[in-house]
Amino acid sequence: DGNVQEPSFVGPLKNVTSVIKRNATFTCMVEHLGQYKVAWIKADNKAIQALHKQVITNNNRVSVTHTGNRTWRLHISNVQPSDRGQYMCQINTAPMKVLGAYLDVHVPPDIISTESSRDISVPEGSTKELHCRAKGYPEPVVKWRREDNQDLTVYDNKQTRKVKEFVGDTLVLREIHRSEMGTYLCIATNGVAPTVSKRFSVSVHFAPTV
Amino acid sequence: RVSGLYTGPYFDPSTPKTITAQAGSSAFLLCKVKQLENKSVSWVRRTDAHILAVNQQIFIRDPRFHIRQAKRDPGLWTLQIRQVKKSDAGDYECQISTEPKRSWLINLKVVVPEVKLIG
Repeated sequence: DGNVQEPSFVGPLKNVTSVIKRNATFTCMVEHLGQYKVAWIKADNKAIQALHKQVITNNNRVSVTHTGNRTWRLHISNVQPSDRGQYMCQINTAPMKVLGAYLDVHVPPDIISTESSRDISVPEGSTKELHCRAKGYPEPVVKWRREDNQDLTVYDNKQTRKVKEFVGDTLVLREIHRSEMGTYLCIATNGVAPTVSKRFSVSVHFAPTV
Repeated sequence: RVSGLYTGPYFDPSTPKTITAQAGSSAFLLCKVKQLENKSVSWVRRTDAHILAVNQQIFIRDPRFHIRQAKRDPGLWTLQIRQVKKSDAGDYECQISTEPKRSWLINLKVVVPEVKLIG
């Protein structure tokens, strides 16, 4: 029948960004599907997700739905970092027609206690480092502030500078002065809510003066 | 009959990882699966990620592709490619739908008979 058109895609497959534990959906729009079939595969590890209306993978977070013969969706619930990657919608024309799009999975920042400092109590004049290690995706930015909003003293190129905040996962308290005693905040952000912070108490002890 | 060695499906390690076929003849890619249970066996062409077949169902619209399942050995799945061409050469994957999936890669080599004119 010369009037039967081969299937084709309507528009691109859109990239999806989701947050860990939330859901993600790819939508593959097809016209003139006829007796042809749509299938989903994860491109990087070649794991078949679904063939037409049937889910193939035993990943119970994966499902497929369709609206008529036109809109085919791949759903991934409770997304995990391992779900990141390229997904393909294939139509079994000869040669096959295929669209690909990327699933990105964001993870909010988290401060790793075991790799971070604890409260410190040090003699005046000593030098101490405070560490604050954060994980997340994208890579979180870690910055330091004093809780009472006083300036921090930082050193670069042997110069002393007073700053409101310092970016980096290690804050060096060099030749600590009694005025630097107090509560320090480490704040980790990566654009994914919620931002997290950790408080560090710094006490400086010194000999009594008369 | 369940072996105590593995839980879930696995590939018979004796399955050949390289198959050589002559252009124009049939290539038979074997996949020997043990303890399949309720999982699927699928074939994927690695070069373009084309899904070829899922269980007995052929996805690729190329009449040269067939799935053969041995009656006497239901764990033996064979992908037959008739009239194999030089362009069919490459890696094929037999895949079991566990989570994560298990896979067995087979490299298909296609040899073209050479005709040399001597003299």
